[in-house]
Amino acid sequence: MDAAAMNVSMETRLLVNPNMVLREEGDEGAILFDPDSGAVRVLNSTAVAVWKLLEQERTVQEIFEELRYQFEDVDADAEEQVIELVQRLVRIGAVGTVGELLR
Amino acid sequence: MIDLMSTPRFLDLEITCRCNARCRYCYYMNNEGVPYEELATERWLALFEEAGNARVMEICLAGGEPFMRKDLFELIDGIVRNRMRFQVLTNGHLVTRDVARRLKQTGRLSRIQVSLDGSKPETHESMRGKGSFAPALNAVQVLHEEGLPVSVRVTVHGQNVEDLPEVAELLLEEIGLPSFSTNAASSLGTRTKYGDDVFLTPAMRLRAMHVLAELQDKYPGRVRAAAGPLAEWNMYLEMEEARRRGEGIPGHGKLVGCGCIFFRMSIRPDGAYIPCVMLPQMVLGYIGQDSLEEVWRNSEQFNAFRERIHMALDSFEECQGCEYLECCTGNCAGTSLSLLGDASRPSPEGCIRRFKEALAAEGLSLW
Repeated sequence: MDAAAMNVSMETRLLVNPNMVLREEGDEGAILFDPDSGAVRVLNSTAVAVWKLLEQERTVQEIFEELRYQFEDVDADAEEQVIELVQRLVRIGAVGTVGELLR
Repeated sequence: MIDLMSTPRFLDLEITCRCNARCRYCYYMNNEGVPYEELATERWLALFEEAGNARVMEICLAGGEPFMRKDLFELIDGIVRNRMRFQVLTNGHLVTRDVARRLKQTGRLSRIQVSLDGSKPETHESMRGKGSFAPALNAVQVLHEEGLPVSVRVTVHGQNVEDLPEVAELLLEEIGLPSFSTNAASSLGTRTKYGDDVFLTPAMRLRAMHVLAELQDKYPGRVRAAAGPLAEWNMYLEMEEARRRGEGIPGHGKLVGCGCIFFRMSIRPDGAYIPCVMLPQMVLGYIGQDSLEEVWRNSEQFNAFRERIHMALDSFEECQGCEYLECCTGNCAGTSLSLLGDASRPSPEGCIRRFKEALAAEGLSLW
């Protein structure tokens, strides 16, 4: 795992890679397309909600709170799930931490 | 039921109607009712912005010959700027090392396909014209040397069937391409002007199938086909196996030969939206006048055409009594339109029963 992905915490503020394209395909979720590599990844509806919040430059904490507000039933380990998802997105270059991007 | 994508993932663009070659079997030129006009740079750039906003992922640049456009790299910049990737289909004549490097610098080229029909001038030029072999081969070599994702499309015809093993050796062993693909002339465009002699006779088609099947075994995964004799051979084998088991092929038995229309769309050089480059007369709207997303989702003509996938083959008189009925897709809608004047009928081109009958008339057998 790269350093940026390891350093994601609840306070980390995030930015999406502006080249990434989110294609929503009905109620089933969406695909995240990286035009630079051609890679395509499938996102479920929760991940799509997270992505849309990431587009608003939120911290992980803010994203988590918004999800708790949007969805009635939130898993007990939801915080870990959100951090894990964000770490995956950081690892593939879809998302950067604000500190990373300013360096 | 095939789900319709929210917007097309791919767009096939005929960005020019000009070409520096005169291939005898060209599907593009001489389609009746098609105006051979092309749009100015800014009209295409506006389309790319619209396509990017619609989350289109990839644009295929074809023609005519795309490199005939002096503004090609300006157009490619527009594709890149709007977060898309691109492909180019070319005859290779205008591809230089500088062009290859400029393409590489974009970082967004998914594939560049060069048309090459033979391992030597005689076979390639028999259909593509004198002097066309060397520039095409040079393009393949230069693009490959520059590390670009180059593919080669070999159109199989009566003059190159016996040259196919040498073509495979040249492309796969000498140059070292990962793979190449094959097809054959279809009943479209120039065919109507030049007549049937560009087509494989049933005996030639059978021979091409056998030659390509051998190459497919010799180079696993490296000799490909989405249409033409090899694709037909593979499809016919699957159909015959299903027939012998007394079964159909799941999803077949209807006009399902056109899956692309659920995730991609095409645009003619004059800006007309069409379902597919094989259906140039089926105009759905025009860029600049009609929105891409509106045409994709709400064109009555397009949606009616998509309904063909529900049309059972046993409802067509010409399919009655066919032992492959539940294994068949009804084949290409483009050739149905060209040959029968109706895209929502099974195409006689590619029909296994007709092919077997034609072979039998010559004392030959498919199996």
